[in-house]
Amino acid sequence: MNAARNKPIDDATSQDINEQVTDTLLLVETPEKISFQYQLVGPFRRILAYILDLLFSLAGYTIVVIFLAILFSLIAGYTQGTFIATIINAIASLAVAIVIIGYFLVYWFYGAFMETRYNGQTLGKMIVKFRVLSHDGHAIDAVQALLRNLFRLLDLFPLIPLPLVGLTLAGEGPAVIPTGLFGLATMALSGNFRRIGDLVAGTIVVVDERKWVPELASFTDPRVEQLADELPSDFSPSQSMLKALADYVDRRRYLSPETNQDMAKGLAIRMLRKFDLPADTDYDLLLCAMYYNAFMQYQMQEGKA
Amino acid sequence: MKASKLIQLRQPSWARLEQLCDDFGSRSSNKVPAKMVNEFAALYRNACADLALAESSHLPPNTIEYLHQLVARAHNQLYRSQKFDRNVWYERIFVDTPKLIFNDPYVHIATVIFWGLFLLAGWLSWDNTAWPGFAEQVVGETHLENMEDNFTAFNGRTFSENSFMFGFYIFNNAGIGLKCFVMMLFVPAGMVTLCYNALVLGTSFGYMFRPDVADAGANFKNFVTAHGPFELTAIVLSAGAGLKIGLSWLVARGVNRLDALIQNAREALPIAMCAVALFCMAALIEGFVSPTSNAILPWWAKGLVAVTSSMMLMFYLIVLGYPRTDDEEDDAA
Repeated sequence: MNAARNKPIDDATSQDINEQVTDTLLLVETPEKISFQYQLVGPFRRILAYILDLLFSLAGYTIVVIFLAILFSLIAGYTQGTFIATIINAIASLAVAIVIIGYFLVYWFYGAFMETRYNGQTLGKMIVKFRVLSHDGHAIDAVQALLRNLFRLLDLFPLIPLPLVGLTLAGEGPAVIPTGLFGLATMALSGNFRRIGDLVAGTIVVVDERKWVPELASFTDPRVEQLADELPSDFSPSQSMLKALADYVDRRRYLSPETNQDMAKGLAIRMLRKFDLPADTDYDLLLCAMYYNAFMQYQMQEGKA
Repeated sequence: MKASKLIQLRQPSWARLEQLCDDFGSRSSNKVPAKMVNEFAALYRNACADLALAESSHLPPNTIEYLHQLVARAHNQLYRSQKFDRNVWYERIFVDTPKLIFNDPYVHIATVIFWGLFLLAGWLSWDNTAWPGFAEQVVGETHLENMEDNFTAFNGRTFSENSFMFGFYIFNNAGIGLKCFVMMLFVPAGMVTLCYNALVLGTSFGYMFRPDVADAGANFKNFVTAHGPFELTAIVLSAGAGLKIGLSWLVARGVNRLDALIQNAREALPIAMCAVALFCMAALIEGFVSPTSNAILPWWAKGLVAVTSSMMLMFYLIVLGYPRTDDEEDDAA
């Protein structure tokens, strides 16, 4: 009997959960007790950001090194024989070590440094417009930034040797290209698009951009307002119907009139019957009028979802 | 209120919040004027309230979606990543990390495995009677000959060669340490790396200390003594840190596997970073002290460097790391 009583509740909760699970959205509850959604970033946009980062960090570093080398040799040329030149000579004998150590730092720590310093963003991520966050929606700390960047090494596995390149560079060891299949597989299986580094560090990557300014649709056709007045004023659409109306009106301007008629037909025919309106009323017009009433004419209702 | 009216009314403040988010961008938080921060906080609270209202009343879905994204964006600006300050650094490096290393069972396991295999391979290779031809079988004859030739011919380096090698050692050795740490997430792969390194190093040591390779052996001893303590400890530490992460999700001890992984990774990272620091110090010694010829720095001086560095390590790992009684009192309180 208990089981029978519990059953509907279980169903209700599981339904609630099912409603919230869209696998590119993550619901976060803030300290202000507001829950809002993050839009997660999939693997292919992230590869783009990673390639940009590689370009910026390694190519950028090479350019800086070349620039500094030219600068120093010019200064050394002009100040030959003076005290400054001896200092520069001393630096020059250490230059190789400095360059290699710099390369080591850029190679292993560029991502971690940028993500800690710039609140979860590297240069590539700033351009592609996303941000790394802790899985509870908070900002990441240095430990997480380090971990997720170190473990990228594993995400790039397995490495495929390039036999031809290996032959030409005999003795240099086989050249390999990273395939990134481990990362791709983990992203597909782990939920929330987390690669191995994200799993270890407990982070997610979310979209961070402004997209559009919300505006209600405006109707130039005067017949919309006329028809809206003819509709019964005591009719209040349900939440899901409102959503359908808003979605329809949002998109109708991108589609041809024929398609609009077709899409509006299903809901409009039932509504025409309900409102006792003539059956030859324009379907598109009817939905626009309902939209007009719901959002622009009448007061908002405190709704039950 | 009408939905259209509400949106019209609130839109300027949403736009202002967007603009502040853009302005703050990635600027560090102490460079943002206080007035803007106040304004931002007020606007953020309003946007949160608007989102709650929008969800409970019937607003068009695109407005709700917009508000979600606006609040998320502002949230990211409000709760930013924390930077280390100097006191935290000191505490992390000289108080927390040694204790972590001293008490970590995985570091102990890695120590036993590495030193056990190292000594075993060293003895088998040196003795050459219990397992004749062990050294040749493990690392190969050509490798042994190359190594012997290199060390026989070895006779100091110039300063710029030294500085090149210093950079190379950091890049190569610390890189290998980090790779070992990361690979250990898949325990078998990491274990192979660790055991392979222990065996090859042990065999090379044992071979070079044999009486019949005296010339090369003297140079070899001269070369490896000074930086040995730091480098071998660093290998053990990076393997131990990796092992901690690799086993954490297999031996979760009743915690959700993913949570266990995240928790252990947080604890393992300082150990791995300590290993990187040791690799760098080892590289400094290996680059500038180890390759000096016998005439400039005799062997006993390098032995002194080794003893000093061992003492430093012992002070750091044992004296600073030994669990104190006042810690337990702190925990109890």
